[in-house]
Amino acid sequence: MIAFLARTRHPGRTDITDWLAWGWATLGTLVVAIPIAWAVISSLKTEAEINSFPPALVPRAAQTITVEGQEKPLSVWIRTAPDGSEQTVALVRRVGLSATVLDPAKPEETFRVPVTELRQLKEFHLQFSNYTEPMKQFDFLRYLWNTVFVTVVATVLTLLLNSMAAFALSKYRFAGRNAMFALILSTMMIPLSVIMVPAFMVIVGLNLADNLWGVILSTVSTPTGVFLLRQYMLTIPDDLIEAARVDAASEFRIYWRIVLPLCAPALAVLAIFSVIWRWNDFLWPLIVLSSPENYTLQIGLSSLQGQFNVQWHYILAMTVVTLLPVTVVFIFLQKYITEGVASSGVK
Amino acid sequence: MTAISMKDLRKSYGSLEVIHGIDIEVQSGEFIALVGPSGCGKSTLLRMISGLEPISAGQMSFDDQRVNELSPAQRQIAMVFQSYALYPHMSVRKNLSFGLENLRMDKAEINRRVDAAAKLLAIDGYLDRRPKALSGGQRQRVAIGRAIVRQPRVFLFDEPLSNLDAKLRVQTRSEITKLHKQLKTTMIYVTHDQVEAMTMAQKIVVLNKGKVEQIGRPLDLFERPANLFVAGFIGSPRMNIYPGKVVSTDGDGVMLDSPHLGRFIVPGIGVDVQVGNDVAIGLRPSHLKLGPVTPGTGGGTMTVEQVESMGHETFVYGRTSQSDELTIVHVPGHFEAETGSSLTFTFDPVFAHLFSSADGRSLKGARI
Repeated sequence: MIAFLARTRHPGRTDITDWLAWGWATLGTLVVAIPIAWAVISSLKTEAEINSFPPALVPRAAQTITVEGQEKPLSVWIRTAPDGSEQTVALVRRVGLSATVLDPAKPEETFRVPVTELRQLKEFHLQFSNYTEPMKQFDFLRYLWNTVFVTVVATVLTLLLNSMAAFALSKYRFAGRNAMFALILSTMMIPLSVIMVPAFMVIVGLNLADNLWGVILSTVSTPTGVFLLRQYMLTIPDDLIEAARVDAASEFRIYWRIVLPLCAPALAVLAIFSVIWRWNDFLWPLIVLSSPENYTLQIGLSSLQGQFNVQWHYILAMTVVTLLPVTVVFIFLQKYITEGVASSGVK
Repeated sequence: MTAISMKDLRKSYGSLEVIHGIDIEVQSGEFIALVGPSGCGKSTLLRMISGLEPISAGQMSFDDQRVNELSPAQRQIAMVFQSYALYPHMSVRKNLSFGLENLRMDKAEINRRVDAAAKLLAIDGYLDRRPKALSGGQRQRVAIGRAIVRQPRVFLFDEPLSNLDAKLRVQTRSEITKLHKQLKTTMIYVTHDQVEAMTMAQKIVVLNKGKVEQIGRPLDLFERPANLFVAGFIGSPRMNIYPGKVVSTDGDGVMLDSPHLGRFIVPGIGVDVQVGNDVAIGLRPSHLKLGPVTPGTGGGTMTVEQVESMGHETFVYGRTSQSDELTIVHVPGHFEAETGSSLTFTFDPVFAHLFSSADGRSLKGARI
C-alpha cells in the first residue's frame, strides 16, 4: 500500500507531476472525507454542543455536579475573580449578564457574578442518546424496515425485469428491436422532476399512492440496467444459446440456466447500483408516501427537520445509521462497483 | 438411424438468396461431409438441417417425415459446434446431463448415460471439472460426449476439429470415425478441410456459392471430378489446370494443343468435344513426372520457383513460360533443384482430365 502510494513517475526521484498528483489526490480525499467525518463526530455531540460557536472538533458536554438542595444537576464553571484568582462554581441560574452561582463546597451560599467572569468546564462526552432516542421516539425501526423492504424487493424485481428485457434485446432478432432499445435508452434523458406529476397521477390511478409498492413498482425498470445487462449479454456467444436450444432447453430455461449465471458479474453491478439508488431515494418516496408508518428512512430523516426547529443531533445520528448499510455494501463489493462504472460509464 | 432427404432447399435473407436449391439424400447411418470454401453456405446448410436456421423454401425430411417446422429438440439432432459451446459455468458432468434434464429424464438413467459416454470418450477422470480447466482436446471430447448422451437421430458436426493442433486433429479424426462405426448413427460433418472430408466421410458433398457441385464417394470425387471447381478443390496440393484447344477428334481420342504442354492425344473421349473447342486440361501433381518428353506423352518445361521437401516426398513449384499459374510436380522421395533452374516434366495423357472452358463441366471420360 505504502509502496503503491509512494510510486513516482520516474523511479527514484520525484518531479512536479508527482507532487501535483499527490496534492490532487489528497485534496480529493479531504473534500470527500471531511463532511462524512464531521457528520460522524457531530452525531455524537449534544444538541447544545452542535449549535455552539465556535464549533469544537471533539464531542464534549458540560461537566455537571449534583449539589445538595438543588433539584437538577448543575453545570460546572470556572470563575475568574477580578483579582485574578480562579474558583470552581456551579451555575444555578443565569439572568441577562449576571449569573447566580454557588460554591459546591458550601451549597447553601449562592452569590451573583457577571457572566464575563465565568468560563464553562467541558469534558469528553459521547451522546449516544442521539442514536437511541429517535429509535424509540420516531419509530426508526419501522422506517428502517420499510427501506429494507423497498430496497430488497425493488432490487430483485429490477434484476429480473431488466435481465429479461436485456435477454430479448441482445439475443432475439425481431422487427423494431433497435428502435425499442433506442426508446428505452432515451428515457435516460428524462429527469424525474419532469415526469413527477404525471407519474404520481399514474400511481394514484393504480391505487398505489401511500403504498410501498407504489415506490417499488415505478422504479424497477431502469434504462441503465437494461443497457448494462444487454451490453454484457452481447458478449455471451450465441453458440451457447444454440447449444442449449439443441439440448432441448426451453427459452425460459436458457434464460434461467445459461444466460443469468453467465451474467453474474453484470447482475452484481446492477444489484449494487439498485441497492444504492433505492436506499438513497428521497424525492419519489416523498411524493408517493404520505402516512408516517409508510415512511422510508430518508423521509423519516427529513421529518426531523421541522418548520421551526431542526433537530440536528438526531438528523446527524440517523444519517450515520442510514449510511452504514450502503457503506458495508460498498466495502465488500467495491471491485464490482469499479468494474461496473468502468464498463458502463454510469454511477 | 435416420435417413435425411433434402429437396430444393433454399435459404434467403431478405432478397439475398444464399442457398440456391439443394438436393441431397443421406442414407440411414451414413457419414457424409459437406465441404467447400468459406462462404459457400455449408454451415448455413448444416444449421438448416439442425433447425437453428429456418428454411426459406423446399422440403427437409427425416425418414420421410417433414421436419421443416420442427425445432432442433423435436428433430432430435445433436450438434458439435466449432467453438464447442460448452456451458462455462457447469461442470463436465452438468454439461453432459443438461440436455437430458431438459427432457425430464430419470436421474438414474441420466447418470448411467453420462457415465457410459464419459467412459467411451475417456473423459471420466474429470467429470467434476469446469470446461475452463480442460485442454482443447478434452473440451472437444466433452462436446462430442454432450451429443452422444442424447442418443440423437442425427449427429451434426460444424468444423469440430478446426481449433485443435495438427497432431490432435489426426487423432480425433480417427476417433470420430471409430465412433461412427460403433454408434452407426447418421452423421453430417461440415469442414473446409478436404483432407478431413476425404479421410472420414463415406460420401462427400462439395458446395460452392450455395449450390451443390458434386456428390459422391471420396475417391469418385478425386478421380472423376464433375467440373473444374471440384477438380481444383479436392486433392492436395491442387490439380494443375492448363488452357488448351481441340485440334482433331477421331475414334481413339482427342488431339489437344496447349501452349504449355504441346500436342498430345487423350484417348477415349467422345462426347461433346468438337474441333476448335477451348478446353481446360487438368493434371494432378502426382501424374507429372520429371524427365524428357517422349513420343506419346505430353510435357512442358518450367522454371523452378520453390521446392518443398517433406523427406519422403517433394513438391516442386514452377512456372511454364506463358503461364500465370504455378505448376506443381510431385516427386517421390527427397529431391533438390535450384530456384530459377529449368526442369522438363512429362505425363501420360491417359491421366489428363478435360473440362469445357465455357462452363467448367467435365468432358467425360475423365480418368485415373
